[in-house]
Amino acid sequence: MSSSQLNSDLNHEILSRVSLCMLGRCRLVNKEWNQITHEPNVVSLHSSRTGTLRGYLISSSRRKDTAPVTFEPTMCTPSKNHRGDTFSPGFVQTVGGRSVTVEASHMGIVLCLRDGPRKHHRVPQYLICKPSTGQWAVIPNPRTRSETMLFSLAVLRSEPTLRFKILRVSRNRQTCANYVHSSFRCEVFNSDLWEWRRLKDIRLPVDYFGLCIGDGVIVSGNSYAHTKYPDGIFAFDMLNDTWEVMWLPFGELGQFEQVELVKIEGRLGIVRQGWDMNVLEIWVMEDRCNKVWRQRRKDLTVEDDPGAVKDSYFGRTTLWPEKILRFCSDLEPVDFGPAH
Amino acid sequence: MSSKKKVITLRSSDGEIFEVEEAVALEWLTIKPLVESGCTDAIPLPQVTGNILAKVIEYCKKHIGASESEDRKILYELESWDADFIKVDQGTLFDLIRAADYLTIKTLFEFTCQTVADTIKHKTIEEVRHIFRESNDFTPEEEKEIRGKSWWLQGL
Repeated sequence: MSSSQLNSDLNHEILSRVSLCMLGRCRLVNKEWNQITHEPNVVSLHSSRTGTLRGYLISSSRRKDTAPVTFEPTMCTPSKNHRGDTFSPGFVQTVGGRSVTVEASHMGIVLCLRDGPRKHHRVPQYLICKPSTGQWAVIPNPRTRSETMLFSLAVLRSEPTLRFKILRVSRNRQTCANYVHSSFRCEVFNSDLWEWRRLKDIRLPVDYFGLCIGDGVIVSGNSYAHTKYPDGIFAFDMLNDTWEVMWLPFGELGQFEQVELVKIEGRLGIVRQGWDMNVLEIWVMEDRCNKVWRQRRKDLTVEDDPGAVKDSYFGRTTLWPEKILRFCSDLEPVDFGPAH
Repeated sequence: MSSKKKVITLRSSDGEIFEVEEAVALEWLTIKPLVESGCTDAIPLPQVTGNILAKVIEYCKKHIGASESEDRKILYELESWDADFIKVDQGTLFDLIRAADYLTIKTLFEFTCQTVADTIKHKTIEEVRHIFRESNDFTPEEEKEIRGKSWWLQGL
């Protein structure tokens, strides 16, 4: 018993008991630990031992008479937390008695829009909240007259105080110069400043953000969203406020095919699906700087695949989900900062 | 049932002899079959040293019967006793985990693992590596890839 290192089985046991925040940090210890923290059985044990919620927030309808937001747990999430309550995002639906929609989510923090009062022309109010603890704060509005094309939220730090950034890309109505290109307004909310800052407009094809306002993924501080016309990836560096356009590694998508951006072992991944949602290919970006992609085995476990959820949800409720956000949250109260 | 408590003899890796009540030894799933078969010889435990075995026995003696108690006072007392019990150095703590794993003592194993998980809560990556004697085998590029430009991971 002299060796001071624990064997890997015992490391599994310990890592399945640390806080969610710590689990993320432990990825940097070494390759073996990075591997352990992504293993499905460790993730599943971690959920049941720490009460961590893993699943999806689904907006199915914006009608007020139906519950607009539901929580769909993944297999590993315990149905009850250790206090014995079943989590439901009921809170999210009625912040202050008005219905809300969920727009973006990262590390248990959710950006919501709340219906505004009629006297303010129903201009939505922007909220930031943590559904698992019922905490929320109002944030200032961006210029809401332009049509939102993309929202992205990145939590930069969750303790001791929460630090986050929100990206909003919207279409400038006035400057639609021609039918080929359009100018998009780009705003970033920084929790340190507690205000929106406008960046330089982005000029891209008119339908670039298209109908495909899917849930993006945040990988190492970069936000990625799948874009429609042309098929590609819009990458935004949430730390430095820079953006770039990337192409899919396999060229054009076939008819009826679709792609889903996912996180695979801490890297950006793409799941290419056929018309009946069967997985055709899985790609992982091995090198961010040089955009090196590698194809992986099809039976690779994908940490979160909204496509599968969409399918099962649609099968059960016949409501087509309008928005599916990945949701992974601990139950620790969050500190929104001294001013809030 | 005979009122006389049966005693089981154990031998640690360094040859120390310990005697425990049968009820305690029955909680150790690894040696449970031996105990049940009525073995009277000293049971050798080649993976556990004497000082660690003494700690393990101390813990199990305290916990036998008490864990199931519903009396809040007893549970509270047990909790503070546990807190004192676990004030040991990192090496001993890891040895306890290994011993609990080897002997399959569920309560002690869960308790010690949770303790380690709690102690690393606010540690930096470097401190975690040091505690677990893990070396960093990432190349600087790989580390950057995972860390991103995430200064938020460097702090704390």
